[in-house]
Amino acid sequence: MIEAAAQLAVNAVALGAVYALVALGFVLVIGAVGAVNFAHGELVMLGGMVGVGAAMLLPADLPVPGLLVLPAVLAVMAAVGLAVAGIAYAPLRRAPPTAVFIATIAVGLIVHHGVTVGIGPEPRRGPPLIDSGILDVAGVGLAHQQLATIATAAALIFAVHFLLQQTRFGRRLRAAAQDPEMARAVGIPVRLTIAVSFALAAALAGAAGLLLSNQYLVTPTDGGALMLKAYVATVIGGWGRIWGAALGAFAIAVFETLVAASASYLVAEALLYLGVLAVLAVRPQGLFGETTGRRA
Amino acid sequence: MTEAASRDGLTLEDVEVRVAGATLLGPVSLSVEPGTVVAVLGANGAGKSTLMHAIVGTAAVARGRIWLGPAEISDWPVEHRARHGIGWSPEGRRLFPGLTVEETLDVAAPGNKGERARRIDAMLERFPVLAEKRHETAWRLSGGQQQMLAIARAVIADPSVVLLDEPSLGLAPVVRDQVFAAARGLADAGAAVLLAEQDTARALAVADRVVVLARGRLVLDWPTQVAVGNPDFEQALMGA
Repeated sequence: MIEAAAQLAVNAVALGAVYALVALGFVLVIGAVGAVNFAHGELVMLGGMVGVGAAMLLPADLPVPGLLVLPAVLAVMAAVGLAVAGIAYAPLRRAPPTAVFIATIAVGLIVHHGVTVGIGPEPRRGPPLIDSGILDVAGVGLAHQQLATIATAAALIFAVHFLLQQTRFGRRLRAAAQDPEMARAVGIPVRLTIAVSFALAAALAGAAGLLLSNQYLVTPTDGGALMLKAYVATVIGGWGRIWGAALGAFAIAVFETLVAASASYLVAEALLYLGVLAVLAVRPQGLFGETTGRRA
Repeated sequence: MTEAASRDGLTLEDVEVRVAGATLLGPVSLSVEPGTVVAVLGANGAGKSTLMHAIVGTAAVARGRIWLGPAEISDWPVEHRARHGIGWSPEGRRLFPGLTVEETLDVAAPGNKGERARRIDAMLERFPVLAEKRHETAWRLSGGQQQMLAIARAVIADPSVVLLDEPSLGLAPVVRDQVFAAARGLADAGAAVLLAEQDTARALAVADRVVVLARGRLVLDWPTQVAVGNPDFEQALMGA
């Protein structure tokens, strides 16, 4: 009983950490360009597929195949993110945000159908991060995979936090997200910060896809549901608030895991969206959002 | 090029800004010499902020030319103008609300880490009210502190031209005096300062020259000592 509860908690934390990666990338682009990247869920799926493909190039008996392909997934997906910025944002940067919405929906569809046509609609299993052993903690056995997922996602989240809070580039990226015109007027190269935001967002999406692909498999149709969860996490966390979205994603995963274990996944999904409606009714600015303004 | 090489400070030649076919500004010709404050006066909607936007590059110039020293900057991107000597404190301050005072200054400061730290310390020394708020986010500052931060952000790169757009708006009288003293101090340190203001008396107290805009056109450009008390100046202001 205790072991089941502990494993459930670890599952929830692992899924929450991965959803947080998805939401972080999603909200980074919202902050950078003020528009939603509706291809973000497809980028998570694509990252999983890149992981599957990269793992096939490795010898079969490696102890940490997932960790070995992670740098390749990050690099490939960062390049994909730059391509998305070049195709779906740069030509439309003077157009209303709805034009970017539509362009990213088109990119998402291209990715979705491109993967389906290219490798087929079947689910694929990504490489395990590390071996499939069990770690005994005070008599409770915890799966290596889940612990490695938590550690990897936490390391990536910490790296993003360090980049945004502790480096000058991160501070400039935040400034450009808050007021792009003013940022340019103090000398910040806003086009560069936007391109990096897209690259970083896609790399995080790809990492999340890789982390999900072993336990949950990866299917070309996965993007829509993941996109919706990132959107919901952002709504819960406060629109455009980076760490609010990560916390929102974490809350979704914990809720989903606990309800799915005691009822079913479908019930969890239904209650989740009811919960979102309740949040919006009570706190339209999101659970972690707050009103900021200029004092007189 | 001979003419250009002789320029210093900021020069505008017949600058016009149009939006959707309507002329919002101009044609305006104006120069601001280094070490001087030029006050831009006029009613709301007279074109003061549009003039600032044209110089910064956030409003497209439909006609005319803008010079920064000997360089024509009319076609330069906004960030390029900022990096080459245009500092701007906009109307409404437009601080980055989630950044602290130190972070705000850091993103605008040029140079390596050591150079930026030196510049930030110099700014906090020049504006002591910000020093005790160094780690406070901008949106939590008082209005006066926010205005000082906006000015410090505008000048931390040591620009040769400083644009101050309605810096006293919404501030208490004692804080207004500090803001205008800061504007004068920038000019005394060698900058060419263009000061758009509604507070005519305080602006005239620190300005070397005064220009009046009315419906986007420059209707008067006089030395301050000539303008003060002159009925024609008062008339121009009333009609602005």
